[in-house]
Amino acid sequence: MSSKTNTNGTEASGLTPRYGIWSRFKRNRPAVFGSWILAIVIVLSAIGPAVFGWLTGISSDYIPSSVENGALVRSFPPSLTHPMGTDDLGRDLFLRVFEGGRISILVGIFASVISLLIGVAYGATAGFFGGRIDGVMMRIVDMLFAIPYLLIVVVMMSLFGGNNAPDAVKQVTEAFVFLTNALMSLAGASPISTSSGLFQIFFLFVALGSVSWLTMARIVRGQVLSLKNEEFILAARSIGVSTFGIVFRHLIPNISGPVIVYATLTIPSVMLAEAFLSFLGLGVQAPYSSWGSLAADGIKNIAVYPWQLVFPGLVMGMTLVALNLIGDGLRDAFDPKSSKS
Amino acid sequence: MKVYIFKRLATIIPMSLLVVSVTWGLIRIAPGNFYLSEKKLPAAIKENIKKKYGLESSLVEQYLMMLGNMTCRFSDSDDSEGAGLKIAIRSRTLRCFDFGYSLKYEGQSVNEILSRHLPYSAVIGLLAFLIALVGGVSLGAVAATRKDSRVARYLMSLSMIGISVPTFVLAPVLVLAFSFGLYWLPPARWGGMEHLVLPVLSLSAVYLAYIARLTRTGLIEVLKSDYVRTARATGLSEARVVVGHALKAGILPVVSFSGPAIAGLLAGSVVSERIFAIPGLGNIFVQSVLNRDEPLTLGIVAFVSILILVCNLVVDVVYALIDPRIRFGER
Amino acid sequence: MRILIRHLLRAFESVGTLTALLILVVTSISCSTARSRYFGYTNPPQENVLRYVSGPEPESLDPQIPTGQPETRILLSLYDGLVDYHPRTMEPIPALAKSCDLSEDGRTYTFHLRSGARFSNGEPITAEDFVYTFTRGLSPELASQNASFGYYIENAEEYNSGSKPASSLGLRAIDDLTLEIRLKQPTPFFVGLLCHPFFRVIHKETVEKFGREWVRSENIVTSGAFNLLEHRPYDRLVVVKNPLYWDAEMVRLDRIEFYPLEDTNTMMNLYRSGEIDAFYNHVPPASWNAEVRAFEDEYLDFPELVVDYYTFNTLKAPMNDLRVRRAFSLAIDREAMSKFRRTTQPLAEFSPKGIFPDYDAVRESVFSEERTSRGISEDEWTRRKFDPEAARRMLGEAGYPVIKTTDGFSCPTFPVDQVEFLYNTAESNRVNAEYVQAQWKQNLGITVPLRNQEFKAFLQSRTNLDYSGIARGGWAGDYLDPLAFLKILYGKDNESATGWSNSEFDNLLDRANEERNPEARFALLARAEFLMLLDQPVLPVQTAATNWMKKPFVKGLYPNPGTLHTWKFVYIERNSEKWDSNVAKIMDRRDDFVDENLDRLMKTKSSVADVSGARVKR
Repeated sequence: MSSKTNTNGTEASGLTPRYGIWSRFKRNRPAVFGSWILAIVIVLSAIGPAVFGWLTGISSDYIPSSVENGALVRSFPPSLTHPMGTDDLGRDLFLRVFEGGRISILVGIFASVISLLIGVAYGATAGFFGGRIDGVMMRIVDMLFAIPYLLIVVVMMSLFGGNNAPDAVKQVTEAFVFLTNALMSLAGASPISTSSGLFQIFFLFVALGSVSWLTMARIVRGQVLSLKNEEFILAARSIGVSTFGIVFRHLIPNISGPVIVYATLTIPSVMLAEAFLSFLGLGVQAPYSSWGSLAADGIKNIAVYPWQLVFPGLVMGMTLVALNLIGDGLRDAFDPKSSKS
Repeated sequence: MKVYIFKRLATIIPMSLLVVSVTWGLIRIAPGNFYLSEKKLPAAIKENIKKKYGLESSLVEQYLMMLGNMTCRFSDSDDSEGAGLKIAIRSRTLRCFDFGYSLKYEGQSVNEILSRHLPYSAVIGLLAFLIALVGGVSLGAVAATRKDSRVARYLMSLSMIGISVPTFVLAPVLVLAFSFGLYWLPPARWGGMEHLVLPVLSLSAVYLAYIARLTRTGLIEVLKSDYVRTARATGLSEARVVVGHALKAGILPVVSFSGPAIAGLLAGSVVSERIFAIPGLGNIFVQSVLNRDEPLTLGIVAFVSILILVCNLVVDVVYALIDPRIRFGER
Repeated sequence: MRILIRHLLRAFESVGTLTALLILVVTSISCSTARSRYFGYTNPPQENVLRYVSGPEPESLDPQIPTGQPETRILLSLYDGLVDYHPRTMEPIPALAKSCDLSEDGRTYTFHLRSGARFSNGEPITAEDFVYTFTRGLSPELASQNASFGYYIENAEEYNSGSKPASSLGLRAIDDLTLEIRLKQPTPFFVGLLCHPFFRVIHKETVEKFGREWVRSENIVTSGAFNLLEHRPYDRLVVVKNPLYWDAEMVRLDRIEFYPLEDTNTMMNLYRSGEIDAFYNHVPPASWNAEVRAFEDEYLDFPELVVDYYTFNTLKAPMNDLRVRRAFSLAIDREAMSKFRRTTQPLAEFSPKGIFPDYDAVRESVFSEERTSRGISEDEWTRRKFDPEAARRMLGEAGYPVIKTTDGFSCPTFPVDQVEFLYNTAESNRVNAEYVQAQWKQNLGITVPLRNQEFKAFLQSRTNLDYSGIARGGWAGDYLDPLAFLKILYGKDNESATGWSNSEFDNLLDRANEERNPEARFALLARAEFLMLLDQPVLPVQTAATNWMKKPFVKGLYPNPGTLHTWKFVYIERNSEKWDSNVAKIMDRRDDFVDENLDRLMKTKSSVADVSGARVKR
């Protein structure tokens, strides 16, 4: 993805292309700041709970069996022992917010990567070849849109969710859990057994990933359709660049703006879809939390225990704003026409 | 162009039937059925139910029966029951688009449920989309033209908040503020215009934010292109350049996004319908899936799939109209 | 460094916007919740109208089709039966039948109908209409899921399964006003069962003329205190007073508006803004504990005819070991759990406590007898509600020793991967599951994985015993009798979803069904219950509670065990001096209108009371 191939762009930077992108990104201060925020949230999600538990001796699934002074109220406001307060079962919210972050971030990133990989390749192919191929490919996307993904999730959970999963699915899941465990043990967290709730999250990832690329494909196709008759593409074609080369070296870099922006938009929308599925009982398995499910719990108590919404909301909001800053930075950095240098 | 549109229209019915067939398969694979409940039914009652709803015949027969209901079939009896089109041909009746009766809501036909609840979702969905489109495009345009200003940054972070605040959080917060803080608007239910404000606002927020962001990036790309530079060079004012020339091309990603978005909005949103107690289609659809109410699910899926296909066709036509670089059917 | 700070500040601007918005909202809300005597807008309506939340959208207005409580609430206003629910206790009170005789053998009931009762179209209600109604409900063609309610009638099961004709049913209209019902065997709770909408009278010609569309508002003919005015599905259902109702004189409400709502916060919001007058809900959000419980004149919880319990899959290891099952049961602090979200009664037995006072008394004495004969001390028995020490010991005996660690317990040998806790999706179920999971972890050192499924998939897994370990259960009794609960464990292929069955238990239940003496019958049931509890196929948790609120000017609306209201007793009180206060005592307080009318209706009750009296006289 070099800016040199751009026929109507600004002068080439003279540095190697990758370095060019990186250096432009580094000069974009909001983007760098966003990266720091994201890094902090990721680190806190990875090792925060373990460190906090080691310091205070509290674990995220500890539910006091009864609470002194009348057992009814278990929601305690932020204090030194509970920096973000407790939820309505009396669990520490700091732990839950950052453990929930693991799932929310994973779901968001997984789905947006899928949407990038499949959506861009699919949309670009359809748009570039046009004609009948485009027609058929886009009609397939239309139909996938129309099939209720709720039903797909229900069926997938019931077919593969229990102990009656086919071996192939089990192996994939086990590999996935093994990977997660490896990551989590690096982070000092306790591993998860295959039979526990994380089993279900895998299907959540697949389900959300499988629908998240559809809009991306449409957007990319539209952009490619409008760009493919521009002079620089015609020029590339006339000097004999291969089709593959035209699509991946010339077209895609030139549509990176909408693509990156839409990819950053995918993350919040997938996080919300996850929250909605959790609400229907098809999402993240209790007692694991996610930012979406924490917000859904918090909103019920907003009038009385506002911290139960404020903290998950704040962390989620900060992360999304950070992702957005990074997205804008990447967009500018990738943009072959970027005048900002 | 006309030929192209006609061709596309012709594919809609078979495609929608394909979607319905896949959905039918999924429902049959999904565990449980509409009469499964906490209480174990005696075998005799189960038999009676199977007989009554035609679940005793073979799967192939049931599938063909379903397809017949969805399209057209001859019925020998001239019973008054059932909905859809009825065309008398000699002694027999041709019945079309009769989606059958709901299994959960005894005595209500799917056609009736669809036509009764669609208007609610449609009114709210269309209003929300209009607000999102007008608001989002203007916000995005402002943010794009003043790309590096403080105003633009605020607008964009505000729109990011719009995207990251789920409807199930935004709606209750709006209710608390406008119904119990200010006592301006009713907290829920369907009624006069004042009942529409909160659902429409909470539903449009996410879409508005999306459209604003997509407009901004689209415009930023276009504003750097040659023809805009040319337009500027001719001495047009910046506003006329943006509105008259750049916006047309810069809005393309928004147009792509709009197709499915309109279809989704018209078909209703579960969360806001539940929170505001609106009798819309979205909630009914989710309930029908959870209840395994097969005719109702299939009816709604058939309708929504046609809606999506039509919306996407419109989007593609709009595409060609606003961007002359795109031509149909070319290689 | 200065540059860094400047950028930090600038980037915080966007985050700051978010924080500021949140703080703004939160403060505006906390300011608006100033404490007053009543919760939200409290002014009686101008008309005699009640606006009530009945639950989800009703499946059908055909009284013989729907299976749920929300529909029943509405149907009770539209249709009348031989007997009606007592507004406070749910025992049967005379309605279309003014009296009833029972034959010596306890199998034949003769109901004497009121003269002058009419359908909403003016046609008289006769014994023949009841014969038609019952026969239709049992017919295989209708395929009603409720048909088994009628199986107590002679030959009903055979007719429903198609092996005998309708004429063989034990139903006979002796004359226009005399109905004879012959049962398969003596069934002490049969009259109580007749309150159910399944047995409420419908109009033959209308049903036959319009087929499955007879309940549409333009076709429907009803028999109750109210007529259907309009039905806008998912929006509202309005009924108006029926001037032709036989007891129309006492009906004080002109109109009831039922709103189908599911979201608890929406209900609360509408209640607070005065748009609804009463609602019930089983699971209040946690913040209600702080927010609305303090409104003593409006908020109420009361035991319900429902038990919450968990089932063990007794066919699979390790739950096939009684000691393991007992350990899991002993390790839950029920006392704390019952105060956890709603105020319920902790339960270590299987039939609910506080609903059948007579049975409770018999049960206590039978249990103590059985206990002594088995050498179980009273202390040990009462500690079944929570005894973590014993639980750990029991688990050790089963071969899974529990080891004390620095921060709790651990049980390394227990096969965690062979158990799970299965529940169906609902916020309340999830919270309870998380609580129970934490209890087992904290008291036994075992982390049981949770698995939730949407309702239908859950039912499929549970019914087919396609789960390992433990599953959530909840059972609502169909009638006011402990048998309504114990029967789910009856027989080889029973509906308890535990895989458990016991011939001695079945035998005791059979004997109880033949027993005519109420006290002896209860004793047999209690012995069966004791026997079952020793085997612990289920893990009882609590007797559920209804949580609800009503505006103080709504009177005559009581939290009876099924929250099934007899609407003709409900009225709007405009005089604020007579409004309800301290509703926790609402059941014991006399209400002139309600009690005078009850007395009037009960005058003819004598014989009904005798025959429905499987209960011990107080």
